[in-house]
Amino acid sequence: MVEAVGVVADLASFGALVGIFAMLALALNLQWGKTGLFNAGIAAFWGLGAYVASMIVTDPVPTALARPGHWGIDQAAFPSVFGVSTSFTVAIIVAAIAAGVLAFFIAIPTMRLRADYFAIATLGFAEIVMNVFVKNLPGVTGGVEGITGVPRPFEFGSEIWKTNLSYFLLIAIVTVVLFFLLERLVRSPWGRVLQAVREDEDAAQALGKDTFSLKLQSFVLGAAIMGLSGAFFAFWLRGVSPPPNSFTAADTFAVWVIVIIGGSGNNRGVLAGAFVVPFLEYFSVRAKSWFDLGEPLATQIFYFRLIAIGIVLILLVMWRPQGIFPEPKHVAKRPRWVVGR
Amino acid sequence: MVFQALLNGLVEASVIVLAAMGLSLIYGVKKFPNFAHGDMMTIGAYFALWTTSTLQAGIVVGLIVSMVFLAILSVIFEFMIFSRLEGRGPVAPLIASVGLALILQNAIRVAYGTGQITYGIPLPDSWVSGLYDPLTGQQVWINPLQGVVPLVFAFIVVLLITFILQFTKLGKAMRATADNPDLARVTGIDVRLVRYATWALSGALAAAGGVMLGFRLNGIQPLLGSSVLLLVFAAVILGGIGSPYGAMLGALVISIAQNLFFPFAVLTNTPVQFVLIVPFGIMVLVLLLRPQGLAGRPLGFDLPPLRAELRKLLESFSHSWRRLRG
Amino acid sequence: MTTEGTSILRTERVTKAFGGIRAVDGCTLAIQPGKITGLIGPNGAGKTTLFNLIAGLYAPDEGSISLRDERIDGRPPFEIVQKGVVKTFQIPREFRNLTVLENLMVASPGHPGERAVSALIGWKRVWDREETIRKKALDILSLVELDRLSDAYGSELSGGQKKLLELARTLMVDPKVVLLDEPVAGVNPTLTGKLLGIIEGLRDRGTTFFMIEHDMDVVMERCDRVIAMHQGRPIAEGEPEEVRHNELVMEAYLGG
Repeated sequence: MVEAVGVVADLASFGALVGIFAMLALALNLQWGKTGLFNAGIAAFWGLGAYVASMIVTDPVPTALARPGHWGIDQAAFPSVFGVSTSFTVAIIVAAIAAGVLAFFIAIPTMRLRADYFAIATLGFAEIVMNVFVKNLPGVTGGVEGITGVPRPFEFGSEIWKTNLSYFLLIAIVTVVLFFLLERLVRSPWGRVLQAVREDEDAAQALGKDTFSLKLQSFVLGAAIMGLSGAFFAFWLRGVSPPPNSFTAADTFAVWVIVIIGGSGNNRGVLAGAFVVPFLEYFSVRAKSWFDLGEPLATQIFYFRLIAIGIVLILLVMWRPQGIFPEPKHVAKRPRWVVGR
Repeated sequence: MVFQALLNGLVEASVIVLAAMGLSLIYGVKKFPNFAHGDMMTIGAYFALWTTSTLQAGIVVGLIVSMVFLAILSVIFEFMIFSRLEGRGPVAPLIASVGLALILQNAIRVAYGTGQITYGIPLPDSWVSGLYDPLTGQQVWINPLQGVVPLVFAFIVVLLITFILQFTKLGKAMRATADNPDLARVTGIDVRLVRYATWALSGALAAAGGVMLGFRLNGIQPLLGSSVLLLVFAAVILGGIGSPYGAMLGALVISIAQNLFFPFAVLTNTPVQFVLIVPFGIMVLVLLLRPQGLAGRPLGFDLPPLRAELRKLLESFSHSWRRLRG
Repeated sequence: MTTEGTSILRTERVTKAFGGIRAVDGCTLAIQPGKITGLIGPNGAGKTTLFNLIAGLYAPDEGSISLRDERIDGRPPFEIVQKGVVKTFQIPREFRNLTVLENLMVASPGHPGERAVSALIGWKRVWDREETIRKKALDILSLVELDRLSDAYGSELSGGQKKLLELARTLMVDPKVVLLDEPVAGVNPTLTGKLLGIIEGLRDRGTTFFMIEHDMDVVMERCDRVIAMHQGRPIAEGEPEEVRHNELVMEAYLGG
């Protein structure tokens, strides 16, 4: 019984991470798969969301000699609903908005650049945000140490499996809702015009479409979702820390991998692909005990996993760039639940 | 203090410039940013280490062997991967290079672990150079091995590259292919050969850059090259993609600007960690205001000036605002 | 030349240079509303550049372009389209992965559903508009006789069908002025007749057409007025027959 509970706790934790990466991948799919914006700064939107959420759900910690402090909000100020503090809801909303705002300012000067320049520019901005600012503002973000002690929305004390499971269910619900909303969006007139813009921006402009505004909407929305994912990540990790611990370019590339494997432009495929990266992580950590590995193989398996990802990436780009699931051809359909009055 | 910063900047530039020229050449000929360039530098550094430790040879031999090895390896990469991605735009090879970077970086971790290793060369203490800072009257320091060697080496390599590009048939073919591959092909240039040659050159330069960097930092670790990749990109973009001379200039400007940050930080009481804002800030500014960089090569895509774009955006905002208010 | 009466589109001394070459050089002309005006001239006369200038793809170095009383030079292309001036592409640029019907529906201007927020909330407004434009699109498709292909993808069409689609898409925008860049180049005679018939029909209903065309038969038969350009500016203007026999025009074509 104890073992089963442990397994549930474990799997729930893994499942939550899958959901978090699924959100990131769905967001990138919107930006890149549907709009053609090759975002290499994912880590910054994810990280900003995580940091903002962490600051909202924790009390402020003043700067002290032993550890750099961080901004926060006195949790007593938040009312409770059904025994759960509203600070979490506020946190995820504000995290999403913050990431969206950041995206707005980054996109305006950079969106007109060609895809590779855009990638380099967003990568550069992400470095500035995370490595320069977030990492080096001890009184605000906790500096190099980050923020610890971030609680989960539902805490069950020593019954870890309950905490993990409830959190997983929360994330699962959010991810599924997000999936349906994005699918709805993609099948709407907005999705249709975005498809046109991605295919042939000049032709879309020649039809009177403000392509800049459309692309901006997509980028900001995608970034907001990434911020949302970041908030959930912060709760999952129970804290945040700056690069090189978290929110590095490697994380950005991991999301690329998911979208490419799953099939750029296909949300269902992306959901499937979202299992891959956390699974590999999970597998590498557990492999030592499962296969009774000695050193150095036990540590090296982490590197082999990354090498495998690299190989898969190259092979996919060479031979199946559309990914495992091809992009669906869709027609804008009136949703069934819109009823005429 | 400023003079010291200038000198340090010069030395650092001499390390970066090698990698920057290699990256710029590939970007110019293959038309994509090679995100594996940093890890190629790391491979070069580790291969030199292997040579010196296993073959008991000196670091100079290690450097040369490493350059040759990485040149060959780069040609293999082109043959196996990048040649098959021609004509598909810059994103496909970019992603492939990210995959390659993952492979290279982690192959090193498998082989050597994650710790830092040094080349084991005893370094003399920094000695005064006989130069005086005109402002403070203090003497300016430079380390004979860690400072002078990279400078001299970079100088030689730059001359060599210049010679190749300007006076050899291959060099002219490389420049022509970077300018206009279709025209180059039509005038009888073997574009495939040019591509392989460019990769070989870029690989050799990356290896040299990696070794020099490991030398200067007195230690190599798996993130050696990738940790400076964005810096190298900044130099290449500032200088103008495809222009190795621009890359030189870019490396110089960025390294010196970065080093000038330290006296600036002291003067204005800014924390030193913000130094990274210099290279990244410069890169972002260049991308916004003058994406073709200092050397100003044609971009390969249309780009109206930023001010006009911003004005249009403002106009569309006020237009939407008016419509919103009805 | 002459800017008499109430012109709908006017250029005043418009100049555009590329490198050292002045593609358009002090071009002043006016287009009358509700007419088909042809634009002829030898290669390199600056006709396509002029169209691109009017459509907003370039900003003129000098001079101005006006739609009725409003200046449109220097404005982004999408704004110019929203003001009612549409340029077609010489080589059709259909959206390959959208159906023919979607190609038209996406062209409809001012759709509330094309903003992210409205699309999500699925208001009745958005979907009612969809119905309206769907009907309009099907009407236009039957006008150009593409209605049986409404669910075919853009990539599945033949060259001639793409030309028709290009025209149909333009009609969805309800333009005031249509700039046609060689609309029947490389098109078989039957289709040519059909296309031009549609254009004349629209002209009769008030749409203005400005047409670059090399086929002199087409110009003679269909254009109400003709402007001839050479070396970046107009050299003759008037009835088709007049212009055809104009000395300057003949010299321009022969001298090149």
